[in-house]
Amino acid sequence: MANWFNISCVKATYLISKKQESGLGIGEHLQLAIHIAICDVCKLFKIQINYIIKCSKNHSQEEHHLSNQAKQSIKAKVDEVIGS
Amino acid sequence: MSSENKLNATNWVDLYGDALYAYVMARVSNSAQAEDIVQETFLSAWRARNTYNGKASEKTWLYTICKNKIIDYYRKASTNKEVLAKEDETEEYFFGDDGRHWDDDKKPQAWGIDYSKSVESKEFYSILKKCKTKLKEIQQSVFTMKYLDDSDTDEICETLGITVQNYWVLIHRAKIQLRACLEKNWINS
Ligand SMILES: [Zn+2]
Repeated sequence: MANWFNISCVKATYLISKKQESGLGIGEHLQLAIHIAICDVCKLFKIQINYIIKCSKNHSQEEHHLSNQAKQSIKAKVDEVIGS
Repeated sequence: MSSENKLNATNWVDLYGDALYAYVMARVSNSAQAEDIVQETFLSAWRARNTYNGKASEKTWLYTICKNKIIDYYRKASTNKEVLAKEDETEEYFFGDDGRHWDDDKKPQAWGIDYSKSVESKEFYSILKKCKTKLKEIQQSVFTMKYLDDSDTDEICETLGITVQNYWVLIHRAKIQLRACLEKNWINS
């Protein structure tokens, strides 16, 4: 029983990720809650991961342009296929 | 009038090349791959021109084809089975000493930011992008499909031919590594 409560940081971080993805079962939820209550590092990990995910979702698309060389090469290929 | 007359492929590269390229670059790791995908999009579109019914705009239609090309790319990357193997150094790297707890020099550090506010700097996103390119391809794919394209887990697993347990492990390792990379290059830079 003591072991059941005492999960490792490896397991705790995995459960933090899994919680974001699919939620946890009651047992996992309890194991994680107990670990977070006693482990400041995993608690910080959880906060930072949640933050990264939140920011990833409202991403801004970077500017990218095809190089002239790439453009010419793609055009040549498209023309070749259209012409054939 | 046949449907092919509605499409003018000679202008495609000038009209849509850059926009499609930016879209692809947000989703795949390198520029050569992205250029290939853009080219393949145009070629496939032209070959399938008879299926274009004019209901969607030419641009929307090209994006649909492009998205499928990106999925093909993800699928190819996921057939590299070595990345699915249980042996992955991520856990050993971060939890090395006893295999249970964080290594002292790899554990998360305080960032000194307000976590309740979303980041607004472009810098964050360009670093995030660079950090993603350091992940294994399949880890990038799952992260991008999930958090850029908002696909659900079942869809991602089906596309990549992986189990949901594989998915949890892959995306977890992606998150651990992204966090560490952002801490190093964004917070401590
Ligand atoms: Zn812990």
